[in-house]
Amino acid sequence: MLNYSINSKESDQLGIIIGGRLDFSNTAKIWQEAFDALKNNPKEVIINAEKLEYCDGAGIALLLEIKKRQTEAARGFQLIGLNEEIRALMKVVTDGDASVCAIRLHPTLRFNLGALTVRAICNVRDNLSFVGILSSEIWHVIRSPKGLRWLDFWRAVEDIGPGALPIIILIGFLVGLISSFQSAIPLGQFGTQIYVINLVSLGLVKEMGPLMTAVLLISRTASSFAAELGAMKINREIDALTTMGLEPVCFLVVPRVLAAVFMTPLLNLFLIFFGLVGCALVMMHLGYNLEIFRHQLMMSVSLSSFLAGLIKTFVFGIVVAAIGCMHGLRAAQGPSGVGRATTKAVVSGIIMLVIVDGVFAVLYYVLGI
Amino acid sequence: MQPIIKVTDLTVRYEDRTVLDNINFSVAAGERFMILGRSGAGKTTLLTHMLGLGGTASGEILVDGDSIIHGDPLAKRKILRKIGVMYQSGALFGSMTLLENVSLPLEEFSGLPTDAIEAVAHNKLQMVGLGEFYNHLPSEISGGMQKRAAIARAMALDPKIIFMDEPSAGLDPTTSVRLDDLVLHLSETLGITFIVVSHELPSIYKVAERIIMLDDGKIVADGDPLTLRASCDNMAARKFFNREA
Repeated sequence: MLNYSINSKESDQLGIIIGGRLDFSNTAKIWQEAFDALKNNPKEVIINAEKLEYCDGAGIALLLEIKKRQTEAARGFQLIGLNEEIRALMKVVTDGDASVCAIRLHPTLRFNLGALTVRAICNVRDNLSFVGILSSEIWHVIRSPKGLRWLDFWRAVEDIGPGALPIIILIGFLVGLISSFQSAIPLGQFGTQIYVINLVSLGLVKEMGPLMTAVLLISRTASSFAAELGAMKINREIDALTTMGLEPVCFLVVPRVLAAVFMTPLLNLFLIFFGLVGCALVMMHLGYNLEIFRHQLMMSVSLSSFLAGLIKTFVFGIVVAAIGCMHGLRAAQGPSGVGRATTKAVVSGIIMLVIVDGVFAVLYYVLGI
Repeated sequence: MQPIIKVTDLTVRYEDRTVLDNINFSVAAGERFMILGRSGAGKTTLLTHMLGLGGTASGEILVDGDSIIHGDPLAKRKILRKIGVMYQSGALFGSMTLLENVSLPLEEFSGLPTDAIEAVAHNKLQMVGLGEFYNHLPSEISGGMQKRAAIARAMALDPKIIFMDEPSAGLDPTTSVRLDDLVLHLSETLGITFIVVSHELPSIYKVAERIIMLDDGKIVADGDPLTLRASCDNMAARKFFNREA
């Protein structure tokens, strides 16, 4: 049972008498009243704790917080009559390095801005460093293919390619089917329903196919790479590689990036093919036979359009794998670090894909493709 | 005797906190050297910098005469090939068998043919009593066996120095004693320098020839463990040794 009284009649002095048990169940009551009274800025606070029998973490927090506020405002504070047991508990708390905590709990705007700037600069520097190391290691492997860890490469190929095929087929088919149905209605109003084939096939080959493939790989493969490498980092396997004198980028990232470069165009072809199957089914349902479909397809998709889409997939493959691996290698310690690395890989991967796709769009426009 | 590791004026700061403050010591070749201290004393930071994995630091760490904190990455990699590391968790590669784990550094740096690499790796596993388990994945063996396999991997290239980060952590006393026996055996037969971070008093008395104790980033005791237990006047060191009583 808690007994307390707060006497703030004298403007210069606030007297608080606490007796009984001060614990988590009742500290809230006295907390509010005590801090309301502190708003009058008393020159001195005197807490009489002679009859305080028991005090837990919440009670200690109350006493220390009042003391802290008075000290920060350069005003007086006295705590009298506290028994030895509670005094010892209080000492355990105050023996910790409170000043460090205070700095971290109440950073100033200037501190936050500075920290943010330093972090941003470090991120740019680390990203450039990663790209540099990766390019150098890939160049080294191109010059001397023996340097590639072929077993890891084929494992990654299996993981990226056949593993992703079912979802690529399903999404490709559905994208072709849905976009054909959706475009058939407005084009039908102008009697140009046959151009659904041109629209969907060109869209799939040049834009939708590469982009959808890359987005699927970001959500499936980049996240998997980030989680796998993040777990290795936490388990200190990355440190083990480094202390063996091995470069983790060469050992872990290069096989995955090359496997992604190898498999992304192939998966893109599957997605386009099954998208066209979906489109063909819709067109057959609308009364156009396969010969018409083939004719319109050949008319609308030129070799340059096909190659323009295919070239993008090579670059998308590099982006997907490199971003997944980079965030995995940078995972913070602890299980939540892996989760955060995976989320970052997916989010920054999608943003990067859109940027790269935009660059390609401008480039192809300039080249007239 | 020529020191194989020499740490001079090493100071490490994170933001406004000094984690290691003007650390100076050297380790003789073949010595079994232990780094002690309570959690947060700076042991892991010191180990990390001795392995060249730490961030910015002032001072110098020479490993076999070469700087591991100020050299370029290629020079660091050369130094790292002279050392083996056993991490607290073992840090074995989960997708590889024990033989593949031990073979990895040999494949990368030895230039031996595949069958010779396998033979050497198998020998290393036999040295730590895991010859029969060469084809097992790390997840298929116990924690103590994983640590022994990690020692085998650390020894793969016959390093001059082996670093061990809390080797007894998470092990039962019997397995821990077996691990200590293994360290003693390897030290005496192969002359490897062992640098071990540990909390375990029985291990310290059994294995260490010399210890340093860190407290708040400073060396507060340096010497052989039995002498320090009997006569060290530092409070942190006395508290550490007297917890046995």
